[in-house]
Amino acid sequence: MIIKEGEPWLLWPSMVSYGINTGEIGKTFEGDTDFTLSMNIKILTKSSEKRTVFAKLPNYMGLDIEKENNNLMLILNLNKNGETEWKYLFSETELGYDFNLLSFRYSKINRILDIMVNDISAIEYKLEDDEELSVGYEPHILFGGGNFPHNGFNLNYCSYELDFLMISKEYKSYNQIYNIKEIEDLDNSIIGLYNFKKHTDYKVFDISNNCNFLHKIIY
Amino acid sequence: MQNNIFEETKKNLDSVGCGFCLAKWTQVTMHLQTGLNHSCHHPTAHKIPIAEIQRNPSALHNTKFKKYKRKEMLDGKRPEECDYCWNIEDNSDNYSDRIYKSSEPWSKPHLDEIIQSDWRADFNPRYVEVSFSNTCNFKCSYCGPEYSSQWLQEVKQLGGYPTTDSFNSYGKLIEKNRLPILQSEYNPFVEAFWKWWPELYSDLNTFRITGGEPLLSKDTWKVLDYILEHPNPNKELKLAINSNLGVTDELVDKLIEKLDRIISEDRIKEVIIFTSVDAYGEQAEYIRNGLDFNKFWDNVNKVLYKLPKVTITIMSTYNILSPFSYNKLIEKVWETKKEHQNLERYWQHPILLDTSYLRFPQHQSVKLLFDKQKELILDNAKTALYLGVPIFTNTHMGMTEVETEKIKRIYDWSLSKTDVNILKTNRKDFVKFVDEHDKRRGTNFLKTFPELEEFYKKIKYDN
Repeated sequence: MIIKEGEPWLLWPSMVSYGINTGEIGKTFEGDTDFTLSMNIKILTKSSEKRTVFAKLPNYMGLDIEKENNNLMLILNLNKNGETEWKYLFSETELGYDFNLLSFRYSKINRILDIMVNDISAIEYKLEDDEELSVGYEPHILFGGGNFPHNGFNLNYCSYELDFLMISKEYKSYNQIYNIKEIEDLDNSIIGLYNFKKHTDYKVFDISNNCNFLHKIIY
Repeated sequence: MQNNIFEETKKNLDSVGCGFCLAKWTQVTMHLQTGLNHSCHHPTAHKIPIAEIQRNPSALHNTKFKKYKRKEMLDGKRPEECDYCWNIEDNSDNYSDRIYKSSEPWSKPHLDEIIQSDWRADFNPRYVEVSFSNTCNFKCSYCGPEYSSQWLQEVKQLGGYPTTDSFNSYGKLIEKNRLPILQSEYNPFVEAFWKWWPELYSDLNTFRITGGEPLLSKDTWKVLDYILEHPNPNKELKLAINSNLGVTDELVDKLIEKLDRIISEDRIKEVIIFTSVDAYGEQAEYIRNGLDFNKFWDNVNKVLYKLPKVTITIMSTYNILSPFSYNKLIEKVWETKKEHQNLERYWQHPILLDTSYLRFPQHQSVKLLFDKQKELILDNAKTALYLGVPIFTNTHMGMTEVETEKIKRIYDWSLSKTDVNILKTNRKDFVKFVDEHDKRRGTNFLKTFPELEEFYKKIKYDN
């Protein structure tokens, strides 16, 4: 599937699932459990400007790319002693313009967040003792932009091709992620799995059977 | 949850009496083949005395019986027959249909007029549902002789089904004085309707023709011709016609031709066609005996293609035989929505799937299924959800929130508690029903529903 520039897609099941979906997928990224968000991605927007691959809202946590060859930048909104704190974590690792297996993971026990490009660690951040991932109301994730188009700011649209997306409540190793991608090796920790083969004009089917469909933003 | 419109209606109604409801005046359902009527559709239908309609054809709605109920309402009492609403009002914080129906555009503007009127006065209803005859070419499993001439013929010849309650027994029909007048016979209720109609027509907001199969009733065509020929047509009228869309090509074409003229000559506000199907393919044909599933969809497509403003609503009666192929039905509806999408439809979508659960006969209820099988209902809701769009417009076409939620609600309802002994009896009755169905109608239940083989055998052979 190609996410077109200016047309980000959304993962906000509680908004459109009428109580049918399971797993509270947005909450997965707020520190109560480990997580892995993994995607096989090929960047299409060529620019030296900042572009957003994905962004969790309303308490922003997102992965951007910048410069000509797509260097990575992880932005974290943290809660430090009750105060909001921003972290901007830059990487020399380049995503380029070929397919890469990009993974964003969190280990609760080790308090580590990391970004992997294929099996190479690109960014790693250890939360300090007084830092927590911030928690927001009805968390949701945008793909291909940093904000909803109607808001008109921090949009940073990015077009890319995507043929695999997985969201798990576990910290998965590269080999595990690879196996899930290749043989759709489902386990109970996986609450959203997408191979993009089954889709409509508005939804991408969640083959984990949790009804956490990716959907188009329409007005 | 409070809503300003409904709160205002409630305040206005309660200022007259705690049982006051405008629908007792403004809405009526008339079953002319049996001479019954009710206002609204919740109370049990009561007989229309022939002597009353001979004097006053509007007694099809304004019966003495109903006028006394209106008096009770105006005197601050709650008519017992309206207990459907009293149950809701006394046991929850929800608004009852008394509030909803009295807030409708066909009710609310008449509030003062009704308050000021004498309880003995006649009132022309604005929302009328009428069934002219029971003539029908189908005999759906959950229907009966009052609404289907095919059913009447069968039970007259072979009697009721061997269930605990003798389902659709001919004797009971006579006992309850519910034997329908055939279309070929003189019907004083239909005669009274036509006397009243010229006066009724000009006041109508909504007119819905049900049956039987309305396209097999000469009176349906008479209504359409009346609208076509009227020098000053009621342009505010919302016309709804039920049809099984399983009649001959000639009749479907005739309907399209007349509706096309009515629409193009701007003689009406909107036309909606209501139809029914409760499953997919052969399984749907088993439930709705007489249905040719492919022909049905050919007719759906023909109507939507030739009448680009019309919306078809499928009133689906979700029953024990529905879950196994319902996903395919949902997909078919979704494809049809996309195929016939345009910017002209009266109700935005070309087709809507309105799923309600079957309550009666209880031996065909989805509640009878084993819990594991009920997961299929949730799966049906998931399919609708996947094919959904979050916004209900002409431009974004998919299953709507309401279409999806109504299926999900059936799943929730199916899991609610049922008395074990009643469940056991109903399951046994289900097996007796399908066995008799196969014998009488030459069908093959287990071949059509292999998914229910284990269920069937367990119920039939286990004690």
